[in-house]
Amino acid sequence: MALAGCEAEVRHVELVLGSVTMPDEQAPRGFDCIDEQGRLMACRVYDRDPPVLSVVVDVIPLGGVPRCRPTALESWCADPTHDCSPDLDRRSIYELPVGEDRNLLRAVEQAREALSGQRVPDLPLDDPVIIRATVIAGTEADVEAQGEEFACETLMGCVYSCPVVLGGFEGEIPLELDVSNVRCMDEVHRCASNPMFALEPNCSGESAQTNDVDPLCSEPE
Amino acid sequence: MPRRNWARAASRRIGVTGLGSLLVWTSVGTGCAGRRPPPPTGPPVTIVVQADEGLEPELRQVLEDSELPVELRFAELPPLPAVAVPRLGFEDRLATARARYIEADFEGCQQALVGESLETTLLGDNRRTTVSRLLLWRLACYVGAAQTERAERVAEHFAVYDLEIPSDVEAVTPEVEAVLGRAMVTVSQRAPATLALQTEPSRATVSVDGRPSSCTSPCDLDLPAGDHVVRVHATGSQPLVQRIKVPATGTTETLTLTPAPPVEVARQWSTRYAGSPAIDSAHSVRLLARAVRAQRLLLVTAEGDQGVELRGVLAIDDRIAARTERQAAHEELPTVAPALLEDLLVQGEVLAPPKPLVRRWGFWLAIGLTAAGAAGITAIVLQQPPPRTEVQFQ
Repeated sequence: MALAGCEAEVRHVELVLGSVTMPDEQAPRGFDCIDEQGRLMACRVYDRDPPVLSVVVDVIPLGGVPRCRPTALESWCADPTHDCSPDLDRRSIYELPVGEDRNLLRAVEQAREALSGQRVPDLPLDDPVIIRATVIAGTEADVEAQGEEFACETLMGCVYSCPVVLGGFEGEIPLELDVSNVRCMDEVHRCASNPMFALEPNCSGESAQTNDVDPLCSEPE
Repeated sequence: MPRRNWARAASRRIGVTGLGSLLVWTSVGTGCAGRRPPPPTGPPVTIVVQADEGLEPELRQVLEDSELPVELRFAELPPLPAVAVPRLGFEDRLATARARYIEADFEGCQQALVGESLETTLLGDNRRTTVSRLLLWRLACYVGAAQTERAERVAEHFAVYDLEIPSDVEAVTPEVEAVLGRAMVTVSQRAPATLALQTEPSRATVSVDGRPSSCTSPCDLDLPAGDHVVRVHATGSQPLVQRIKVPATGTTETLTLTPAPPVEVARQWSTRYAGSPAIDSAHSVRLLARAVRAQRLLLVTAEGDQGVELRGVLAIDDRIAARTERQAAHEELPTVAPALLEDLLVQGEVLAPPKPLVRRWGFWLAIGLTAAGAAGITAIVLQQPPPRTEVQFQ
């Protein structure tokens, strides 16, 4: 019993990146938002050569457990007593190479495979937090160079978890963006802003009024 | 059932009377024939149970089943004393002596009443009337046979004993009456002599010449000079009958009583205490202990039906060592009766009192083990690292 008592219990928590995909399976929800020109924000990864992206995992301390609906989270974070800024000391950045075939769907799958099994260290276990994954076009160094606020033109997508206390949880935590279509640039901005869900996010801009997207990220003619 | 009825029932159960019943009782009381003795587990303690008829078997069983570290030996109460049966044989001898006297067969008359210790024995039994008749006919026989000296000696004894003249005097000659009359006058004119009587043990009941309880020893008795029959008896001792010659100047006598055998003690106990409410008095219990030959005697009495009143006395070495009582509902008897027994044995120091918890090594062992266990569990809990949460991408 004493020996058994010396072995700490291990609870496994798995982050499921973009668990919901659009019906046409173009890209996971949160990574399929289009910009003002109707281009997938995720295609920004091909704006640099060679293409590379970084998945930035942030912990957002909430100071309480609000409901998970976007409006509830926005209200919670609008309360001055709740600072929904990410804990930068706990930030993890995963730099992932991307193929040059401009196939976003494949790039996402590659990124998922590369991330699979990657551990996210140093997460708080006792406090209610939101785990946010922001995908940035650029290297880890680029992200670090950006500081507290991401550069708007590098934002590819953003997903987050419901409020959770990791110490009492075991299982899968889906990271998603609660939107119903691809016109979700503003939601990505709110998700990736510092503080999170800011009423006036760092980046601005509205998605084009279209549902047609080009997952192959064709080069502009 | 009232105690008196129980005693009668016990007497019927014994089935015989007199000395025979005592002998039978002794064998039952000391041997408990047919009862399997429990294996000896400690000091022997004799137990006597007296309860209502319906309650006694149950109480006995409960006590027998009590798992006390003593060797319980059950004994019976002595039965009620048998009614004394008049000894008719002596009447026959008197009738024979009378017939021989009328036939002028004075030799045959004397032969019918021969026996030197006869009058001593009869006076020891307080049978003064019988002795009066015995001496009268002896006197008549001697007068008829012209044995004047013997006749006068017998007449003197009659006078010294201060006996009443029996109605048989009408059947004897006036000469006999004259001898007797002279002797009575002579004796009455003597100055009384003092018999200073002591006994060992003291406080014995003294009877003189067949009179019931003349005094309690040590005592001085003023008596006519001459031969007297003194009977001394004390509870627990064998009665002693002795002929003492008291001279005119008086005398001092010391009589030593011997302890009575258990059969006699049982007779004394049953005469005095069988069916008596004082059955659990100190004297009764001490006597009973001797009657049943018990160094340690427990007397347990129970009365009642639904509510049972239990009383217990423990006598050890002729002293009352403990006494207690309990009241309980009938159904509580299996727990209350053994508890009463244990209480008595502990009070009497036959059993060591149960050690308080704090003086039992088992208690401290249990405390120690509990404390060690608690400390161990606490240590384990304190040393147990908190659950580790590993977060990774799927």
